[in-house]
Order: sequence, then structure tokens, then C-alpha cells
Amino acid sequence: MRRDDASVAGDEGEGVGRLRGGKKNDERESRLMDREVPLVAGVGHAALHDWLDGELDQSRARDAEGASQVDLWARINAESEMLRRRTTPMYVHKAIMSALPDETPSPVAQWTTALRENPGTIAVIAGVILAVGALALVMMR
Amino acid sequence: MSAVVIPATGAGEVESTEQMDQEVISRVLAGSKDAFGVLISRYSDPLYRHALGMTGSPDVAEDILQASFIKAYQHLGEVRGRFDAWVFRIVANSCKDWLKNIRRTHVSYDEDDQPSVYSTPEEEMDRNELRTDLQYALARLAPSLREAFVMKHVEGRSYEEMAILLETTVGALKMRVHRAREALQQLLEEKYA
Repeated sequence: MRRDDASVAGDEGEGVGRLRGGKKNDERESRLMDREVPLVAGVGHAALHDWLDGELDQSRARDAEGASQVDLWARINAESEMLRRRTTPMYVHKAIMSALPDETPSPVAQWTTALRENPGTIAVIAGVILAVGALALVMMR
Repeated sequence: MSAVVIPATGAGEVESTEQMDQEVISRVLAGSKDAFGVLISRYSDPLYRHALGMTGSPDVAEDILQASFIKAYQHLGEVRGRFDAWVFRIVANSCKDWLKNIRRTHVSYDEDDQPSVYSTPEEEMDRNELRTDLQYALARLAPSLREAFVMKHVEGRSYEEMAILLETTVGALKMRVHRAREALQQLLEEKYA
């Protein structure tokens, strides 16, 4: 998968440099991250993931991974929970309602739905296709 | 199975929510434009949080939300199945399109008006620093990993809910979330761990 522009452009000049990695690292990380290959059990902070997925106690994750890793993720979780409490500003609701077009949306009958509701139509279409195919064969001879 | 955006405890509640949505959709299609406001009120918050988590910008999240609901309104007659999953996919695709198109990483949570849970100015400063670094680190993830991380950690969804919304398997999503965590940890641990 192609790495998106957002992940590359602008990073260098906007302070990400103080975190780890340059452009080469980005490309290597991207290649590694984008491939969905099975995770090998027991490798790559398994206890940490189990704890974060709610399948393991924090104390056991702390024993397995070390306090610093668990504390980091506890802080990340706390920050995530703050974001989870955010709500849509009220003026956005009003803006959406006032921006809706005046025309009433029309119900669209999908052709697949029409076919499901009228199985006879399928037989008619199949017959027409066969007839056209047979005619084409006759003409080719 | 739980409801995707309205917390529910059983299949009956999911059906009930779906039924209520269908009733509202019928009213809108019959000409009641105001009825669409019910769907906006019901689903805007989780959709806004998704857009905010994906873009990192309240302004962009608001724009995406507005454009997505207008698109949903225009194509409301095409809804097959659950409205909440359908409209989520509109928002999620808009977020990914935005990420593909931007030339600069737009990261700004500076309009955060949420009350602080930290008691001292030092804790508040630490929190702001972590938030900024987390957003920069998230911006470096591939969109599919960022999406999975935001849905799991910011929106607090279960893997099963995510699988319904993204039309993929729980196993694939676990891999994405795990890889996102690994990548974020690599980016953040030198400074924080």
C-alpha cells in the first residue's frame, strides 16, 4: 500500500523530528506496518496488547513488560479517554441542517432489488441472452 | 452483537435502533426534512470523534461531518441495512480521502475546551506535551493503522463493532491495532518510557 502524503509531507518541519526516526525510517516503518501478517505469539509485547485489549490485569502486564511501558500506555489511555468525551459543537448541527438541499431525496430502487423481487425477470433476461447468442452463432456460419 | 454507535446490550436493542432509524428515514423520504435532524443528533458525536481522531483538527472534523451528512441526506434512498454503519463508512472514507490529499500534516487540538482532570499546572503541561506528541505520532501512521487505533482507543469500540463498520475480520483488525501500538510505542518510548 502506498504511504499517504499526510504521513510524510510536513512531518519533518513540524516537530516530529524531536520524536524518533527520519524519512528512511518512515519508509521502513511504513513497509512493516502496512503488511497484515499473522502476529507470532509471544513476540512484540504480547502481555501489553492483552492488557490493552482487556484480557490481562495491569499488574501482570507490568510484571511482563516493565513499569515504564505500562505507565506510558496508561497515560496514552487517559488522554484517549479525554478525547472520547468530546462532543459535536451545537453550531455544527445547525449548520448541517441549514445546508441540506431543498429537494427531498428520492427512494432508489436498485436493479438487484428489482430482480430479487421479480425472479421471472431473470428468466426473461437469460432467454434473451441465449437467443441473441444463438442468432450470433447462426450468422457466423 | 452490540449497537455500533448507540451502546446497547442485546440484539433486540440493535433491531429497535435500526427500526427507529428506518422510521425516521421513511419520514425524510416522505418530505420531512426536519426529521433528518433526529439522525444527526443520534449519530453526530461518535462520527465527530472519529473524524477528529483521524484528522487531528476540529475544523476539518466539522467540515467532514457536515459534508458527510449532506451526502447521506442526498443518498438516503439508497440505504440498505443499518444507517449507522452506512453513514460511518461515508465519514471514514472522507477522512481517508482527506489524509491522502493533504500536503501538510494538520495537527491541532488547541481548541480543546474539555475540563482538565489534572490537579497541578505541571500535570497539565505534561498532559499537553503528551497529547501533542501523540498526535504527531498518530499522523505518521498509515491511514488504516491510524483508523484502527482511533476506533479502538479513542472511540472505545470493540473489535466486533469495528469489524462490522469496516467490513473486515476481527483478526485483521487486531493486527492493525497491534501494529499501530507497536509503531506508536517506538515513536514515543524514547521520550516517555
